[in-house]
Amino acid sequence: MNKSSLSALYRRLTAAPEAQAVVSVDIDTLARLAAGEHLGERHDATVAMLAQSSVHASALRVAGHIAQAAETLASAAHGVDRALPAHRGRRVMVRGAGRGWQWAALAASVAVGFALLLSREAPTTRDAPVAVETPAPVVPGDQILFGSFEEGTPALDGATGEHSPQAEAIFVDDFGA
Amino acid sequence: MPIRPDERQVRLARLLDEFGVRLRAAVEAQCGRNSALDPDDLEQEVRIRLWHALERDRNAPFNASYIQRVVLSVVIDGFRRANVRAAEPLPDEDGITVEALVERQGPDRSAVDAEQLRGIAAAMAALPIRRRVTMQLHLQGFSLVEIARLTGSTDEAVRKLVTRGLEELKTRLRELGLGEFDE
Repeated sequence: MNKSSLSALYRRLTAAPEAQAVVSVDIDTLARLAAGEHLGERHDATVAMLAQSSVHASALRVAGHIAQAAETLASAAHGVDRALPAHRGRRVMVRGAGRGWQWAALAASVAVGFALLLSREAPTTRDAPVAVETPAPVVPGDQILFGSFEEGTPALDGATGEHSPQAEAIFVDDFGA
Repeated sequence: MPIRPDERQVRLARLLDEFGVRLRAAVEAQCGRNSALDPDDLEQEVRIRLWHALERDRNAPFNASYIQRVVLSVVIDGFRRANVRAAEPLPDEDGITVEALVERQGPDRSAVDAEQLRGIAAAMAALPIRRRVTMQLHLQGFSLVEIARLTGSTDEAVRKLVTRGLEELKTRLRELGLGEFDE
């Protein structure tokens, strides 16, 4: 008579829905165990719970055995994305230090060209028409930005924001005196 | 050298193919060829999830930890679906409970199995906690190295616990009249 397998019987015992119902080990915890992490205070209790569930135990063993393949896949997938052309709007990490100076030279020439273009096309102050603007109504806190130098730029008097007569005296003077 | 965008999909598909081969091998080795999991179905579902992750957000992290989480989730879901299918009763025929007909191994064999399962549960519960957990992990299929890492022990200590644990379990089951067992 063939002997029964303890392992097979125990896995059947712990695969039953009733056995699964009392096991609460989430995916993140299993992933951490698969990565070899220690779970601190709850480590021993979690491992004991895992040992009573053939579903979780099988899942953990599979995850552990594909760990190296997962590393290879993740690394290779990143390598594929890094090889995409730059005009697709993705960051391109250029492989090898030898190409670095070429990208720097290209960037520098573009910057110089752009600066030259701006300097040739930017209007000078003598050419620009004088815009006559109606002064905006002065509101507290806006006095610095909206004040007119013709009328005298009011100075804020500390926290009150009120006009300072001393400051106005600078701009209002009898030059004929 | 830059690659064309269409070439990206070809390369990624090839990488997923290679990963799928290893995944199927791991499932067959760890879960058994006669388990409730279909390695091809499982590999296909993992592949679909990973492909969606790669296409949905190319700037999102795609690392080994994420891949393992996907595998864990798919394996557990696969087992649970298999348990649901096994638990669903077949329709009655002529008033006869079909569950009784489904037990092709016969009622006597089922009773023996149930008795053995109860015996294993009782014998396991009688073991000291440290030996019990080590034995449970061993019977779940973990290697000595894996058990040592999970329990924070050494390979040699685990080997001794397993050896003594097996002897004790077999003795208890023999005393219960359940016969001899292989590991």
